[in-house]
Amino acid sequence: MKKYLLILFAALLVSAAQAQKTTLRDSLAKVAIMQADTSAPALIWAIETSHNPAIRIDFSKQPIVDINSRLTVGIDRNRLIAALPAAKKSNPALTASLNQLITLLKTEQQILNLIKPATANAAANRDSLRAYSRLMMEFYKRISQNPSLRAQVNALFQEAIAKIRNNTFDKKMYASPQAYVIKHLDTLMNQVASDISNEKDVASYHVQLQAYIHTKNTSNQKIHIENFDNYSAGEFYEVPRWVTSFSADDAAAFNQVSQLSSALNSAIAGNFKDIIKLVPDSLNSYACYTNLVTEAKNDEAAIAGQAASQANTFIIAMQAKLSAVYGAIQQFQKQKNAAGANPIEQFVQLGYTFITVATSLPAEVDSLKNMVTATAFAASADAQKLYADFKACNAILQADVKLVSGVYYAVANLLQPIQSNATAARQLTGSVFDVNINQIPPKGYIDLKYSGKRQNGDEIEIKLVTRSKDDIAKNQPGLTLDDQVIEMQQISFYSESTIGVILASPLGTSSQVTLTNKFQFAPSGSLVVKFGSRTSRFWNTVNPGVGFNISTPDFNLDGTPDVSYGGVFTLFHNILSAGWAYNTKTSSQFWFFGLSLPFTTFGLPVGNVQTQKQ
Amino acid sequence: MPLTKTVTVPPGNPEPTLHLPIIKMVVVVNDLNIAQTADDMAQLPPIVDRQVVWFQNGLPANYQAEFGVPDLATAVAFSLSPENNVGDVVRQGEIVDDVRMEEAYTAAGL
Repeated sequence: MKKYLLILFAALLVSAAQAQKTTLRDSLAKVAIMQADTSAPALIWAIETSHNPAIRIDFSKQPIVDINSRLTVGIDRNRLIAALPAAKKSNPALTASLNQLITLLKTEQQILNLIKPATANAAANRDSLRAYSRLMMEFYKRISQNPSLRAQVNALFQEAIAKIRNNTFDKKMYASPQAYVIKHLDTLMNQVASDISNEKDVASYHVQLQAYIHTKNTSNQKIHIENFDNYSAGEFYEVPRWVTSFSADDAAAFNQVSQLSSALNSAIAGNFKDIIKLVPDSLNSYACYTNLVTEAKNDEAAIAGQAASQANTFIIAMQAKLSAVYGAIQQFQKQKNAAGANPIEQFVQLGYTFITVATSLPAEVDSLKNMVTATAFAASADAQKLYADFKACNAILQADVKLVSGVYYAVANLLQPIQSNATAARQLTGSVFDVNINQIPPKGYIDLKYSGKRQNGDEIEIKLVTRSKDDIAKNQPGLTLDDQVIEMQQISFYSESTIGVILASPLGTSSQVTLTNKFQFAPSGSLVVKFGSRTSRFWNTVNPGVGFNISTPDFNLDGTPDVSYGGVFTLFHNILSAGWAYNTKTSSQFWFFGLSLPFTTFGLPVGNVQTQKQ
Repeated sequence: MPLTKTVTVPPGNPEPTLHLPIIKMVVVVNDLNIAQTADDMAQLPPIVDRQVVWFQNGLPANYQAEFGVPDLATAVAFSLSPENNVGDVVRQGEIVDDVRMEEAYTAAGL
């Protein structure tokens, strides 16, 4: 055994000695220090300038930025020119040369950032020397593959060395001959790009830089890029970092989920058959619309036989629209006593019709009114009254839309994410600039604080669109040449509050706990501390949180809430939660869990409503 | 051009330079052009200083053992890292221009 160990040891020594004899460069050849440039480089660049030091965003790595940050963005004009369709460029050799220089200088900025005057002791700068050397080895490898480029670089080195030796080298501008070479190659690249951009077909290209925000509630919400559009300022919203107490919104949400918990507990008792009754009984718009439709029908009857006028057309069209909505409300009333039918199925069908018709009604009515001139409208007392009464009823109707939507999404889409129509985000006015390719602004600015309400995990999308002469002449939207997505996240520690419904289950036995079911729905509020990562989307998706929980079950079934305090652990943006709590009224412990699917409509029957985020 | 960053051996003493924590280029052939290129590329280097040691009569035996340059017979120059590990070896038959010399210096920074 000893013999074999000795042989093994000797073999290891030999291999170690051989390894020592290989050079660092040989090692580099064996181990891929930098991946080859196989990815399509981004035409858009972005820097998180509110961070100190500023962070250049690497689009190849699913970037994450601070949710309250400011970004400086721009277009890499050289890459853009290289990416334009070949058919539009008359000199393929120039394009080839541009592509070569772009590839060669792809790490230019990183190298230049590392270059500084030499010191006599490597120890202090070992890491930056290593980083610099890795980048430069790639740089020289690319140069060595191209004899004409190599000759050009040799000439530039000689130029720099000659200047150093005769003391005319500008050390402030270049720091070293390597910086001299790189900066001169950059100038050459810009010259080649300019030559191409001055070609007739290329010079007629126009460019747009557009930015959108995608939140849980809305998609494709435009956001302003200073210098690239003249959109009005968006809604200011700074996501707070530390949430230490429940807000007024939390309190309102808690009241809502209290009612819903109560309704759910009743629904469970009745095997969910009461759900179809719960909703119509809560529709406050029913009475209002009964009167409104009667009024509209009377108005229509009064004008029967009269000559067609704008006001009369308005009344007739209004009657039809209002009747459609009223019909949808009536269906709830009719169906609530229907025996034998599947209540969930009924509700899904009726709910969808109601939400669709009632949501679009205000815009449709306003559109009808806009077809009547102010004079004609002022001359018709009936039209004015009908419109005013509609406005009054509409506020009640829209509250009912929220109620039905909440239940609808919970019931109809229980296990699938939804496209919420809960909150129409503030729309910006203005337009994006259509700039000529030779007049692209050097940079633009995005202030995320002016992009409205947003949450961790929401995304910003930045698009680069080019429009050729033909696109412009035919008013076509053009070609999207680059489309980058950045995730927004609170970075480092932050806290947030969350309101939702939990399922509570008493632990042990207590004479005061008279609950018959194993679980009871209860409203709950939590304050949780979390950590946001700048580098790991996976971590941000798992999004663990730990904190304090307050809930109000009713374990003694006396109809009044039992205030309970405990600890909570949450995952996946509070979708999953679990914890332990102490019921102060029954002096008993219980455990709980919550499953909150990502519904965004306020006041869901099951789920968390996050009201303060950071 | 004068070799301003080069210790020529003989008559110079290579020891002080070889023990500096900087990047070194050791030229082991009697070729002024190569020594000149090495000296050129040691001018105003980035991050860490560079110096050249030119052994006109080849690498002495004691340094051969110390540095363990693979296949020394075909080497014309080699670079040493600040910790005196061999970074890269420039061989006979290679085009020894500024780019090649730079590459050898850079490899010693890894």
